Amino acid sequence: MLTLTWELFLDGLREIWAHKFRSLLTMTGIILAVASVVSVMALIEGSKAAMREGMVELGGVERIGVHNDDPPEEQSSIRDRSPGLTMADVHIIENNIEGIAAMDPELHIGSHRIHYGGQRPPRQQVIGVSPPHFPVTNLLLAEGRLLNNLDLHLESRVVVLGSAARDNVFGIPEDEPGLNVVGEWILIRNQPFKVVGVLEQSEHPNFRQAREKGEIDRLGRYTDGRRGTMRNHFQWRNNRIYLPITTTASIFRSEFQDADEVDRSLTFLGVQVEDPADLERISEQMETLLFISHRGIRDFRVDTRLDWAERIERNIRNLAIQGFMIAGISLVVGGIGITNIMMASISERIREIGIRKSIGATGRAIFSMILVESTLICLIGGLLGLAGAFGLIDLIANLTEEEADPIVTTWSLMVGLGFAVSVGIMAGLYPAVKASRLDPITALRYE
Amino acid sequence: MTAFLQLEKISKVYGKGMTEVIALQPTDITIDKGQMVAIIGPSGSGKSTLMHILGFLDTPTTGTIKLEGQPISRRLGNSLARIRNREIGFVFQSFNLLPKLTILQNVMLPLLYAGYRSRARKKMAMEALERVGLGNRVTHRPSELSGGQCQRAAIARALVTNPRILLADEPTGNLDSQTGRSILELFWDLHQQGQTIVLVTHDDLVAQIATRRIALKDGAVAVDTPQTGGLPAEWTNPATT
Repeated sequence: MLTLTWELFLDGLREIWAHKFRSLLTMTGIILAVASVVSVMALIEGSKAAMREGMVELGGVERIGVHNDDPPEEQSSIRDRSPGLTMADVHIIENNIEGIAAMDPELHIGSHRIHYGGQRPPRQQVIGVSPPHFPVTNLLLAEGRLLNNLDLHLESRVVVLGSAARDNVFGIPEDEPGLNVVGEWILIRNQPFKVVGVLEQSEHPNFRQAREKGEIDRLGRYTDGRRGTMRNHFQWRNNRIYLPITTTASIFRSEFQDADEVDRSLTFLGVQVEDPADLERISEQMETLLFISHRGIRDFRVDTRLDWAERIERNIRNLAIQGFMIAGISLVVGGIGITNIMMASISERIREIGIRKSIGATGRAIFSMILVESTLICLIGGLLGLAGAFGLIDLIANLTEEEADPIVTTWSLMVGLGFAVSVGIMAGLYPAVKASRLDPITALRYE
Repeated sequence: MTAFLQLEKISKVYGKGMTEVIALQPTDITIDKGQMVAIIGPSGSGKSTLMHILGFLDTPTTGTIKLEGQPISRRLGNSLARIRNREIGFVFQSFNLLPKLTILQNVMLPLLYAGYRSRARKKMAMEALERVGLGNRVTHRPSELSGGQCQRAAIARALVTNPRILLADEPTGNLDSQTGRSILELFWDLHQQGQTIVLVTHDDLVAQIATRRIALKDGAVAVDTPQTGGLPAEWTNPATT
């Protein structure tokens, strides 16, 4: 039996080799399908890994976020009854809920031109934060100092710059060595602020990896002379200028507040919990407290990072399903192609089958011969598809500038090949049954 | 001599009702071990049908076939394939070698289906090819050989499993007379070595070398008689092509 299987394998290879071009054409569907299955899986795996890494980088999962939100339809006419998300909410939550590690309110006031000296003023995002913002969101200090409680208390006119904001306002330190920006004064909408600190560059894991390998410099420029720069997907954090939230509120609130709008002192409220196991309890308690402080108006949304992760995973899953559908269709088409070609091959080989039967081949031997052949076509197609997958993945990565590097796992290779082989078996079944049932006399007479 | 193959009341009918064709009327034939039988008859006499039944390629409509006393006419396809593989060697008019395989591979093929290992297959196939005088042509493909050589290869393939009966259907039909003669000489040699042979032919010259002649007419045995057989005296050439 083993001998027969091996011979069938060689026979199959011989048959495929005898019709090289036809076999290759037949395989194309399988090659493409396997390449797309593996690519889709690699992209998904990459996105998931990037999401996990990114989440850790941005402060881990033990965070709950409160966003301003539009109230439901039936509350829209009474939304003014709610004070919105304010510093009062910060205190209410902090004082009433156990297990909170840090409160991190944010007040975004948009992007503004930052004046320093006579240069063309760049636009930077300005955001008011409290001191816990830096540790909670994993922002590290490079020079000077971070904001402190005294700044908050005194509403000091001090700022901490993101690395890109510093580069934009003062120039790249690599170009101007010896430049010390700490202690310099800048103007934000004609209000003077003193730079007290500069943050370390916040880097997406991919970006950091490439920089550490020496492929790019700090600004993302390729070191091998290639044009363009690699995108750092955390660059938005570096472009920010951080002010004490109290200073931001008192200096800019009146200036930017639309008179018709409710005073929303906070753009976002981040809450870091001590134990991720408490996430659900704390977020529910926060909802309750906020519901009271907002006078029953649901103009906020409480999100845990887990919700966020779940949402992203759902999106990834949906993309995966779409990808698999497309790959599945090409697999089916490829399979039909193989069935078709096997049928044609059998018609060509009716006489051969008759001869084999006359010298003692059983129906099962003929069945196996055809099945092995179609499976081999798919197996070879599958292997070529795996090779093609790497090319396809590169192509997709280049075309989409996907932030996540696709990750090819052994599992995905096995799934790809497994699909190919199963298609081969399914596609070969009908022709194999047909061939095995050929009457030897009729087959021998066939010209 | 002992009865090797017994056909008892064998008949074959194709189609049903209006389209019914009787290819073979109820026939009794017994073939003994070591016989060289020629089945002769004009086209449509039923000799091909008889050969298919003798060769277990086809099953009779009625009657039983006994192989060494064992009735086997009602067996299923796969066990018939096994009988074809081990007990019967076929030689066809058009050789029926697989063009993609070498002569050696062609001859090894029945042994593959019999389950022999590669080394044994090669050894036995080489022996069979030596026996028919083709030991030096084993790596050629059928297209690279003459008709006579192809028929010798086909005979080697038929002999390789040591079948009890060699069934030849018009074995010289596609060959010129000189080559045909050498093939018949080969058959005669095999017969001399004790091989049971059934030759199906419409050619009286071919039938003359057999030791028994069965003439069919309209699906029935018209003549069944022993004869001297042997190669005609005027054939003096050695068996070469």
